[in-house]
Amino acid sequence: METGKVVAEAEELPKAIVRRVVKDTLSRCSPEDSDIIIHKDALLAFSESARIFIHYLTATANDICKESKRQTMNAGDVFKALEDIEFPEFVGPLKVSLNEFKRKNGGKKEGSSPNKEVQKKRKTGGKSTPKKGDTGEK
Amino acid sequence: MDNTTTNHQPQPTAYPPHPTNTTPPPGGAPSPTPFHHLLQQQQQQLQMFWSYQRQEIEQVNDFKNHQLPLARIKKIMKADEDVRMISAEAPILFAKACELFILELTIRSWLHAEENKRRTLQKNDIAAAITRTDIFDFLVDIVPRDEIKEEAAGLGGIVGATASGVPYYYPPMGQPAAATGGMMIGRPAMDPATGMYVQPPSQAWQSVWQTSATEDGSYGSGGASGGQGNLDGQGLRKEWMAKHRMDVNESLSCLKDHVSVVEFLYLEFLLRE
Repeated sequence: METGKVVAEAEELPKAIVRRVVKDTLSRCSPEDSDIIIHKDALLAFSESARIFIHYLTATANDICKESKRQTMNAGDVFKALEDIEFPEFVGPLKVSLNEFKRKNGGKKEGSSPNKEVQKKRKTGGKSTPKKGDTGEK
Repeated sequence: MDNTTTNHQPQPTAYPPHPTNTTPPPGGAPSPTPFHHLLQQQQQQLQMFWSYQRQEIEQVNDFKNHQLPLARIKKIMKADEDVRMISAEAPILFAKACELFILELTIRSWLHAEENKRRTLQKNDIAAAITRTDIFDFLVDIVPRDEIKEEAAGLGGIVGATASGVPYYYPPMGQPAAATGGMMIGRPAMDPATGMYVQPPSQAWQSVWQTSATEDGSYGSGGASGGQGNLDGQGLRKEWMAKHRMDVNESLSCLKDHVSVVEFLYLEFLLRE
């Protein structure tokens, strides 16, 4: 049919963070069982799964974005995509998380407009140091 | 202290609650009320302090946790050539979505480990979670067939022995899949013969699952949108997998399995806390 368009690069998620999420979850699943061991292979599998999940969600959101004849994938696309791939329960927490994030970082940006200018200059200069949530650039 | 965080709701004073009247004052006096009272107060304050600290940390940690590095997430996203521009919010959403996803996968894997009375989370637990959960179909490539076979063997021996743990490879095409009892192989992208990726047994199971799911008020992974939505989701997965298949040697069809209503309720409870 078509060639697989996804380049399976070795970009992986940091093991430590994945491990922490798993551990946190387990400790809430069974608080008394404080020493559940995670097999090394299992951790890799979690990492890989998450990575594939990103691919999957990205592809779906991208399709939705293109359908709306837009170039830039936005939050709405992601939310719609989550429902399409049958993870609608994620949408709520994601919205909360996003608002929290905006709240925490909106204050910073507002208080330092010269900083904003600097950022803009950097971006037009072609070099964008990703501060927090860099805008999409090709 | 607003805790609108979803996952990290601090437990009320999880620290070992000191009984407030333990230590008798060193003086040995019969009832030194002021000193004792002071001690009590201090202990309470200490408790409150730690409880507050913990909440603070958890709030900060929430963002530390979901800082799966945004740049890396973006790189992973951009591995898909189709993707052009990504808004600033997208990687943030993806980071959190990943976390939630890992959470869900962890819970389901852990259930399997518990069933087998293990305190070690192994890869085959994850394999089991993947095969059992319809919405995790897109992950079926990750776990080698032998892992899934272990799960199958436990369920009623659909597949043959796998003691050696060596994944055996089918020739990519032309394999009479039906002969092996419902196992389909090959990559849909290259194998027009089979044409479809999702197999009948899975669909049969799916309808069973849906029925039980709707009873407890739609877990959200299929019950919510009814039959129609579910099929669309499935179609999407098929399509996506056909287009974006990773380069894996073989794939194994889904197995019949059931997830009991109890498990669903439990999962629902955990995820809604």
